[in-house]
Amino acid sequence: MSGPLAGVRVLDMSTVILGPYISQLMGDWGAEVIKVEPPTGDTTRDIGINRTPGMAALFLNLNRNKRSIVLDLAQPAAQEALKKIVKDIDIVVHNFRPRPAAKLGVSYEDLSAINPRLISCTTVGYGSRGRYKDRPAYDDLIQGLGGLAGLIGRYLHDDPKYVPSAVADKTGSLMALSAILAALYQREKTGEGQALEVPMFETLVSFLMAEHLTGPAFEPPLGEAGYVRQLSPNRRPFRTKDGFVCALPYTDRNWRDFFTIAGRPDVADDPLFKDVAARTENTAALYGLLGELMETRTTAEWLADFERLDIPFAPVSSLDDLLADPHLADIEFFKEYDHPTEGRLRMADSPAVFSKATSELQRAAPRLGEHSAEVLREAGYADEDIRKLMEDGVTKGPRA
Amino acid sequence: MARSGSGTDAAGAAAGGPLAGIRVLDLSTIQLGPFATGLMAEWGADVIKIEAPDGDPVRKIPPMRHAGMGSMFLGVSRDKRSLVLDLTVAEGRETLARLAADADLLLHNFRPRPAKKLGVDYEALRAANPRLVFCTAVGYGSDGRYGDRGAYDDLIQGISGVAGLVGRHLGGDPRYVPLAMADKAASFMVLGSVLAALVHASRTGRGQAIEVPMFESLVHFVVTDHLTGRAFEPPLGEAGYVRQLSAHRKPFRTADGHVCILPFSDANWRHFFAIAGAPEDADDPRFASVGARTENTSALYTRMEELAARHPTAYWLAELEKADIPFAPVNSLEDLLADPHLAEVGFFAEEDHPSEGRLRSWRAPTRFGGTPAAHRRPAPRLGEHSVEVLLEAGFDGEEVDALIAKGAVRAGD
Repeated sequence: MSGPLAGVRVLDMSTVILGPYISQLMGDWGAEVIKVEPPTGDTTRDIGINRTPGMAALFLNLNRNKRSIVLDLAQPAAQEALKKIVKDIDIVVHNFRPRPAAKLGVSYEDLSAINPRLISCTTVGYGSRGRYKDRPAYDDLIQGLGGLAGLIGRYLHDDPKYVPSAVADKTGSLMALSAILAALYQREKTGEGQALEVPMFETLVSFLMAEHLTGPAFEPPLGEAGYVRQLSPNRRPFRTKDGFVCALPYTDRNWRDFFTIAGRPDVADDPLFKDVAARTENTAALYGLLGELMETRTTAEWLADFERLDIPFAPVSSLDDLLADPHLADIEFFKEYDHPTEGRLRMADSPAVFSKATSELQRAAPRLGEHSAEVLREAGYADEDIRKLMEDGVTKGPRA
Repeated sequence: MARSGSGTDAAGAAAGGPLAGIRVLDLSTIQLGPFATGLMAEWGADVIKIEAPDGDPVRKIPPMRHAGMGSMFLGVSRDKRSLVLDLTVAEGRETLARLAADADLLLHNFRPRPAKKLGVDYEALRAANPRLVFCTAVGYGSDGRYGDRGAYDDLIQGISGVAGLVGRHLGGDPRYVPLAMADKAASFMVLGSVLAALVHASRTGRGQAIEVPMFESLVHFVVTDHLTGRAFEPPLGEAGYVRQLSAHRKPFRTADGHVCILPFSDANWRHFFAIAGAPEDADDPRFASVGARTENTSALYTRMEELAARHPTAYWLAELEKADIPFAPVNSLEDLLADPHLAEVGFFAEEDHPSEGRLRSWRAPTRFGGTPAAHRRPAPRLGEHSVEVLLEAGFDGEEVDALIAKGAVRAGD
């Protein structure tokens, strides 16, 4: 495998989105990822449309570059198999809480006894030292608890709303990814592994506070919390004659050019708008006028002129627009590949470009248990022992 | 001059933390880079923030007690040092090159041509330091046709589909998410990728160049759930994860506010209807099983809205918790500042800053079971550490004075 994490071995026991997104990125960056699934498989295998059962859309994109082994961890023989595999693993990811983890023999205490160099990352909903630690961790709830839904309501001057994407899950994934790699860096120097805990709730709050703490960054506070610019109703895509466009005239020159192409060059000289200070003071009037003028021309006309005049802009893309975007096509961001059983698939490539990595798919998204036998063999099991484990339901292979 | 790599610096403060011993030259501004290096600093890295003579523009965003120390700057700048270099003069560029010879990571967000003119050039720097990891954070991938476009968070939210998805969800105009989502999703991608490259450099002795674009990072983030039917070619359906886009998916209005309610099991639903004061609904054939509820989603959520509005928020919070039904309050920012769980985990902390008075900040949420990082220093004034950093890097006093006289280096007051 090529990529900065070539040679790093990851065991991922997590399910759904948060954990698998972490190991997807690590796999894309060259790590060897072994996905341990219960006999029923990761639930995302059944979420959304599929060509064959157990290979649904949500599963496919998240789980490429991984191998799949089934282990029924309720069975002692499965726990034993896991321990044998872990001897040769650098990183374990899971989302079991402490008591279930201990029952399944996958606590940090259990696994580090076998492999002292192991880095074990537990993703949780809420930090284990706080009173919410036992609450269920659903993305919606964390958006509400974490302040995001309330912020959106404030911004919309309306009821609180969720962001229509698993933001709490995925910021958790990205925080965990970095924490794991930081611990891996430390281990390169000290030889020691450690246990990490990454909570979704606190991660989302830290994500918000970066710009929204504001006044209370000072004690006593210099004002209310909330970054005014991002909460302003003016901050929105503008309606055009036939759609919407994003625009951010910035310099005096940008504004002059904008008013000129909008057919109102006289406004550029208006003392209300002539420089940054004036425009800041007259924001409401400025954006009111901007909104009116934007509606007088088509999206295509605006996009062409903005690009020509170097006025910061962007289209408002739909998902279909993204899939057809020419820049993304230039860099081959969406890659198609022929899956051995699911036909031709499309996936999103890793966005970071490394000069020392190639961007090739190493493994297709696996069928459930596709690599059970192979992984067990690597861990030292003989074929007849593997057969016995399959008969006992400790593991299983892919459906024929 | 070789550094000891012991994880301490001139102040003698032991960093601790997983990234102790890593030296970062951070030339980035605003949030795209600084959010990532803020976490690196918190985790023990020696982050030298290299600023132009006017300083990082983020310093100027209010509120602040004194000029150049705005809250958004403070939030990501603890444990960083500030060095002012004027890279438009040759001596400034030479100073940078000397520092880069001994650094693990250099991060910037200049576009390629301006970068080269300022001496921020991987090809030039790698010769003196083959282990250097050199990361460029940009708006759009430089190999694509948008590579030269200016990128601001709003614009990237528009082009990456986020604003359109919000509009779809709300059944109205496209709207932004009131967060710097693009900046920070990309910043996380910067952080992950530089750490991966640092691990690699540690194992192989070889550095590399990395490019992390905002547009592609946010698209990657978004399509993870939303690729759906287009994961197949030919498509099996449209893109867009219906459950998340559904107008039904929202906090519910109570008699006096809002609450998030997510009954899951049949038992949860039975309890919910009982708490709501409509126990007979539990036996309604439209609501009695997962299959029925899925088929009658509209009717179910309409009923939930009616019922939620019957009781005040306090009632719901208490009863849902007692009944073990997944729920959450809709917190405001002020609620978060007063949240008891966050207090228990030590999320917010106050400290006395030498020039800015009493400040409040937050801790990265990750708990490292091994050595935790120690907080070493408060957010820096502009150029506060220019002299200290250069002396530590082996410049002698006279050289530093000469650089300051030339304007290549500025020392803070």
